Amino acid sequence: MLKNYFKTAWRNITRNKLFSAINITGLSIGLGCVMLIILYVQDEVSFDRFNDNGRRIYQIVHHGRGPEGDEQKGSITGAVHAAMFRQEIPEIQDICRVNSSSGLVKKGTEVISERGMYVDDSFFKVFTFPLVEGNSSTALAGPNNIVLAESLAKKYFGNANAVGKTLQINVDGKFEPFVVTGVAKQPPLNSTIRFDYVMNITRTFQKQEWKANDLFTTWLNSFILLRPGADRAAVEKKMERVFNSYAGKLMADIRKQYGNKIYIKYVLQPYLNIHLDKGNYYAGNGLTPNSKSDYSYILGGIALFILIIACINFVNLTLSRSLRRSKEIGIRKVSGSSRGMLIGQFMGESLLLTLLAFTLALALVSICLPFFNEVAEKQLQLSYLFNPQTILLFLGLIVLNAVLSGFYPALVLSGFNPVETLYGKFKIAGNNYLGKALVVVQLSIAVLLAIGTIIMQKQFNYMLNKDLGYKPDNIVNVYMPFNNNPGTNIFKSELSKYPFIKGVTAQNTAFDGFTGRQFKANNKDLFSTQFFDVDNNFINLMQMKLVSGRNFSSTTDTVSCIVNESFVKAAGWKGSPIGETVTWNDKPREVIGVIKDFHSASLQSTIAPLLLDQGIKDNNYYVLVVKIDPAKKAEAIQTIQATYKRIVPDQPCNYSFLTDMLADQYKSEKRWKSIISTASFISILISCMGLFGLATLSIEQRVKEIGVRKVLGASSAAIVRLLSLSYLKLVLISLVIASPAAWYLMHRWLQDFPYRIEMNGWTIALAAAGSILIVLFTVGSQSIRASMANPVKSLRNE
Amino acid sequence: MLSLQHISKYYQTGGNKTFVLNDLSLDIDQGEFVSIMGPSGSGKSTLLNIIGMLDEPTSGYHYFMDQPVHQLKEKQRSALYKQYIGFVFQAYHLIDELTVLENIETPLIYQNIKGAERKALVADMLDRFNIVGKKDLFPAQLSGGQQQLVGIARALIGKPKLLLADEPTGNLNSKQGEEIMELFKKINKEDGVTIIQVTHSEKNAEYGSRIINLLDGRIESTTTL
Repeated sequence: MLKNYFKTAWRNITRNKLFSAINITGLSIGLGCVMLIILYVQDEVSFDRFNDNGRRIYQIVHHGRGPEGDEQKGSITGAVHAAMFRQEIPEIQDICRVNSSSGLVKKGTEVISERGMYVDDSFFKVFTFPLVEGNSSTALAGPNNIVLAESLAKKYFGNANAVGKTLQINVDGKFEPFVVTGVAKQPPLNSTIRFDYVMNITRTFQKQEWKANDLFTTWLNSFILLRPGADRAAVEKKMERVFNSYAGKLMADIRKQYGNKIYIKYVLQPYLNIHLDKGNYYAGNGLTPNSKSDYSYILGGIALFILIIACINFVNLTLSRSLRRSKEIGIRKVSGSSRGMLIGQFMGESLLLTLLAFTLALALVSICLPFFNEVAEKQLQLSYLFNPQTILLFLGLIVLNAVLSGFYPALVLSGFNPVETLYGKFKIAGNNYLGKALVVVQLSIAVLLAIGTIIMQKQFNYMLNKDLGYKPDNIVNVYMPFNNNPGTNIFKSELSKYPFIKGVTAQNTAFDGFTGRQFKANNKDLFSTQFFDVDNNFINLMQMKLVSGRNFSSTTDTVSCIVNESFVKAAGWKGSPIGETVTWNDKPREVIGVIKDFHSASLQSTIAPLLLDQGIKDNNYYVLVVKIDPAKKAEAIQTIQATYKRIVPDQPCNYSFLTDMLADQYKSEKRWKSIISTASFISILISCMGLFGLATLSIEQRVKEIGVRKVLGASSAAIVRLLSLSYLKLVLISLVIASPAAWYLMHRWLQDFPYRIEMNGWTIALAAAGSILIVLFTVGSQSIRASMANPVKSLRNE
Repeated sequence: MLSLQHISKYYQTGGNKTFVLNDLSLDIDQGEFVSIMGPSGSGKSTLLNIIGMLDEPTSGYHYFMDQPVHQLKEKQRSALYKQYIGFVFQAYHLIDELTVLENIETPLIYQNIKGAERKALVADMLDRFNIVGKKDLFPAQLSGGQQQLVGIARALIGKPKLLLADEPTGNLNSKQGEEIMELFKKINKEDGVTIIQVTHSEKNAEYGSRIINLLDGRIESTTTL
């Protein structure tokens, strides 16, 4: 019996090439999307789970409030926090502090940047990074010991045994010899802590004695390992008490000075939750940035949408084809088949089709994975799919898909009355509301995604092309070394010799760097204020606009400052701000100019009060800002690199174009834009394939009607209109459903952008016109063919 | 073998009842070859379908092999006709996706007969109908007469006691029709299969042992040959 089912199914698939192609392509794309998302989600939730102690590891994080009552959260601590808690709280079995290093390694004369970390010598006890060579309990004992990851050992020492060899590592600006004491298995990609090499962190602490002051100096991440059975809440309570007993007096002083709103408390964040934590702790110090679980949900939703669209094709096409198969059903019933057997047969067919689609989907996924990895910023591999858990999941998916798309048609088809089907009385139910409703669902999803794509594209273009208040084109930021900064003056004089260097200026940090400072102006404390140290050429070179006052007159003017319009507003000066005083660290500076507000940060944030002043010393500037001749870009970059190499031989030359850096701020928006536009393209494509199939079938069924109408005098145009109109109605209904939903969702999305496009009817109109055109094109070709047919042919055979 | 008593079948249209069959009674014995004739709309096919249990009368008593069909449930009826009745159609109704061999085999599959036994039964049937050479062809590759031959072979494969044929020669030319009728006669004589056929052709009707003329859902006359 199964063989017979299988045979009929197979022959049905191969004979109806168009429908099989539509079904299999659609389903395989849908399944492929789901597979990709499963890979993605699996990677997300598997983060850090390889750690044997995973459940007992916590990160010390702090919650608190700032001077204005603003909520503050963070994961950066000082060296003393973890040590203090361990000493006072017996439940803490071990601690491990982690910090990033310069990562510079010398190989011959070349300086290479690697992922280097400072860690406590308990590192290999707390986390599960097994050593393939060396002894994990002593490997990090000495200050100049180093443990390499497998890949790095191979890179520097080939296949030879690395233990006992020496590497030159940059520490505090100087290269020092480090002895390799171990080689660790390559840290997996789904690990929050990833490293190429680790060194002992204690050498980086200048002072070891505990001063209460140190509890307010923070620069590293602290992890603790609780004893088995220890209670997290109890430990957190103790942490609060311990912190208050050490820092209580200083806190009181701070409150006295800045107000009673200030408050801080240390709590524990489970290590296994770090990757998907919604707590928004900033992941610094070389830890893998955390991710939002929202992404998994949105991606999963999109994949499900696409799969549903494909399943709808299957249901609709199978039902529409049922007229052709009704005879077979009748015969099988008369030959003794029960309804259950027929349901089994049709389910089997959909299972077979799903299996075919699944195979194709695997191929699709393996082709698309590199692109997906790029968009998702992952390094997923197809081989991840082949573990028992995933295989089980996929088997489930196949069965679910077969049931989803096969059960309803099977139920309907198996219910046919053989007398009706075999005596030609059978007609498919006149209106087929279900089929139409399903098409509306498909089109609505497609339209929703299409409108989303258009609006995202518009907002994206708006952000990239908005006037920022300066000209970022052809500006190159060259980063000075952090240790032993030679200053920018030497570069300025060297580089200005070349004709393709249009100008050079300096900045303490690039626009994407964080520079907060607390100013006093107009007898007020201004808390969330930004500043940049710049030289007197900066405003001119960046083509910024002074609203009033003047630029710095010389590079040595360190008593003046220039503020932006938002600063003036925040300070609340009445009248001209020129000549007013701004103070920090008890040093007053005179406002000599007001600059027009400009966007140094992304357009997702409003422009903050900002102050420009000049650095006290030349080596306060860490970014050399160079404007180059765009016609001689390659030459200019080469010259910059060569000059850098000459002046700072120990450091690789890091530079970036300002336009790239600014675009980078919209990386996540760009990513979502490409995800949504791909999804909308796919869903439109699959919907249209389905519509095409439906149109072909329905026209086939109406061939006699068309013949009669033509004989009665209908023109070809009238026939095309008749046939297309029913589909046009469905498009219109979908537009009515999808437009408000899209409007609402995109309106909400746009709220995240303080600088945003205005949504207007044109976007919807564009999407409407587009979808109507696409549908008419899809259905029209079939309608035209039918309308041209000779009625004699269609009416003859009866 | 079967007995229909006071069988009526009607449709309610507005306030009127449209009778397809009107208080019809009929007995058929084992081994008979009955031809049912009558103009279009006289109820021939409906009568045949009721006998074949594909359709239900609105009222009346229906006994088949001493079982009260009118009292049986759908499942039991289906088991009954599966075991005892074979159908032949005017339009052959072969499954286009299956070969000749597979078409003939289909009823056996639903009777849960094992593969080896099925093969033997089908081979016998192919041999008997002289279509061994065509066993791997699809219906579209056969002439109408050959398709009907396959249809009959399929109807007979389950060794039915009763063969119901609805205008089996309606789509065939007279020579092909004659061959099919000869075949029916042979099946009736040699295998003792009871046959009830609906036909428009006087000539074909005369192959039977009894001719029943229907008019407006009633038996107008019966001729025993």
